[in-house]
Amino acid sequence: MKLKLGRPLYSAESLAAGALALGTRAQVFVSESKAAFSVEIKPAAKTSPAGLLALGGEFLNEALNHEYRQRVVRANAPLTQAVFAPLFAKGFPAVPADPLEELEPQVKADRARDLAELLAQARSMK
Amino acid sequence: MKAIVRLPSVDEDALLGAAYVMTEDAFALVSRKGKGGAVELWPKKGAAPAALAAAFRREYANQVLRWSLTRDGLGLRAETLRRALLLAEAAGGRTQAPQATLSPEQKAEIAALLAEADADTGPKDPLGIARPWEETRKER
Repeated sequence: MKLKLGRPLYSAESLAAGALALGTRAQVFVSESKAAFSVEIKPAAKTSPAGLLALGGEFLNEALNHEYRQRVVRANAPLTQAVFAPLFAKGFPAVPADPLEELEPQVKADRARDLAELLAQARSMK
Repeated sequence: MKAIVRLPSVDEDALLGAAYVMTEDAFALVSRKGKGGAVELWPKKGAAPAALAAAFRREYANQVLRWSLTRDGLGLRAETLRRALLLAEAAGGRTQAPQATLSPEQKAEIAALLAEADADTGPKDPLGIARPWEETRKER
């Protein structure tokens, strides 16, 4: 069974969730283009046309389920932030100022420059 | 047989939400084309494609309303929640004692009802069932 799922409506994660739902009952092959994912579902055992439709349908519904849940989570992010931000603020108090940096501002500037260079180096390694 | 519903202009969240609700009765595949969108529905248990399409359109209208309400009030709800948590923290995490809200008239009415109940001696007892055994024995 071959399916075409449009991007970015469906994400790679939602396809993974769909494939996971089928477990060992089928193999799922995915390829992607700029506009869509192409999915091929191969049942592990010989399957009737109705069984094949059920496998493909289960994959589609699970992918949709995952995608929709992610959207609901993202849409409610301001509420989640309102609950968790104060907890994190309490759990991670501000780091006290370094006495050396307080005494000599150049130390702080040098450290900031070194850190920026290291970060740039790490990002360029991707 | 499958049902295909095409909408010329869609709210993407509502499209996915309506398709998700339909997964109870059908297998659903959603797609977008420009501003429009479509859903293909394969019935699970012999439901008529036309009935599925009609149910999807109803649910889509419902989801458009739900999502618009969700988006409209989200900032306000988040701020209300944030302030409620701050108040709860200021109160030490304990619930506040309920405030006395009875008016003097209501208090007087309750006092009258209690006095009436106290004055009532209860139902008559011609057979002496409610009387202690010692009392009925003395009478014999």
